[in-house]
Amino acid sequence: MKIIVIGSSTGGPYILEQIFSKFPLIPAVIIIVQHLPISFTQTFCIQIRALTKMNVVVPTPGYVLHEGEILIAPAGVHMILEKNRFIAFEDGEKVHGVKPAVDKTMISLRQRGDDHLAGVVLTGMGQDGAAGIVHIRNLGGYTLVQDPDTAPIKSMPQSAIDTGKVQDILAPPKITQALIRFGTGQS
Amino acid sequence: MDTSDILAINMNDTKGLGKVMIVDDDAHVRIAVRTILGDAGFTVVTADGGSSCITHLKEGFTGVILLDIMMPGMDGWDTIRKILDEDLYHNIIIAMLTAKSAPDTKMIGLQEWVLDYLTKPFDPDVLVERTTYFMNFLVNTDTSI
Repeated sequence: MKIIVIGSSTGGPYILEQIFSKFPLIPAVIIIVQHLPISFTQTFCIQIRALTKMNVVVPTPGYVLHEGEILIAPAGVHMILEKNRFIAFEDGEKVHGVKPAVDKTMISLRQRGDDHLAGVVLTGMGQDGAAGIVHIRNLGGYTLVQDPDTAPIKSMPQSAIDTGKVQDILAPPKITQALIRFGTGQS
Repeated sequence: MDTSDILAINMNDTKGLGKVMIVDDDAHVRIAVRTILGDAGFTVVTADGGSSCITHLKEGFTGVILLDIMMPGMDGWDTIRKILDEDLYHNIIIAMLTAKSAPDTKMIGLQEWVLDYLTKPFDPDVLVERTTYFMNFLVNTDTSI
């Protein structure tokens, strides 16, 4: 199974709308961890759903991952993966001042069979996602971040770049292409 | 609400695209935003600082808030904390509109409450496009959750 975790914060919804505009159905699971107030989770889900042929859902605990889906992490809880296949929620402290934290989701990924993993960090304030990128790269996964010059707030992608574990630094239109290539096994 | 706000509403509420509050201590910015977004069809309310923003919210403002960061007294981050402390975050979206190219660490802990971060000077077309996006986001949201 191919699993992509995208971490995003302030400025992210607009960037993600660009990335997923006319996004095709690909055989991968894409998990979006976007920092938002609780009341915006469903709206955000509906907006992404309107853009793509992927099935877009806000999962509940125990949800089983299926390729061809985009999972939106609900606000107010950390979302983690169990054995790379099931969704679980963790109602712990905020991490980097946020919940859900990108790092929590990324670091819950494991090396399993022939799973292919990818981590993406987009615009946002702080360091959330940097540790997750290190984890995914150390598992042999693919790592990319939004080019900070194209990000409304640069510190999240820059923090990930500063780890030295980022393979690609791309503007949003090229992130779309990179996700499609990864999801279709072309990279 | 001061006279200029009432005037702004009366002059600009032409297409009913929704309400926007520009919070900035610089009158030139308030006038520019009011003109650009008013011409685009938004109802524009102005606030010259965080305290005025809070007053508008207590009086029932709902809509998009374009919030400056560097303001005397209560800055943009203090204003958001006050909004949260006083449970005034209902049917609003907050986007920063600031001359600061990068936010300071006072933003940590507030990330989820700031939908976007726009910098001054701004392109009028971009301001209208983003505000429209924020408004669409808001009207599709049940913020009572």
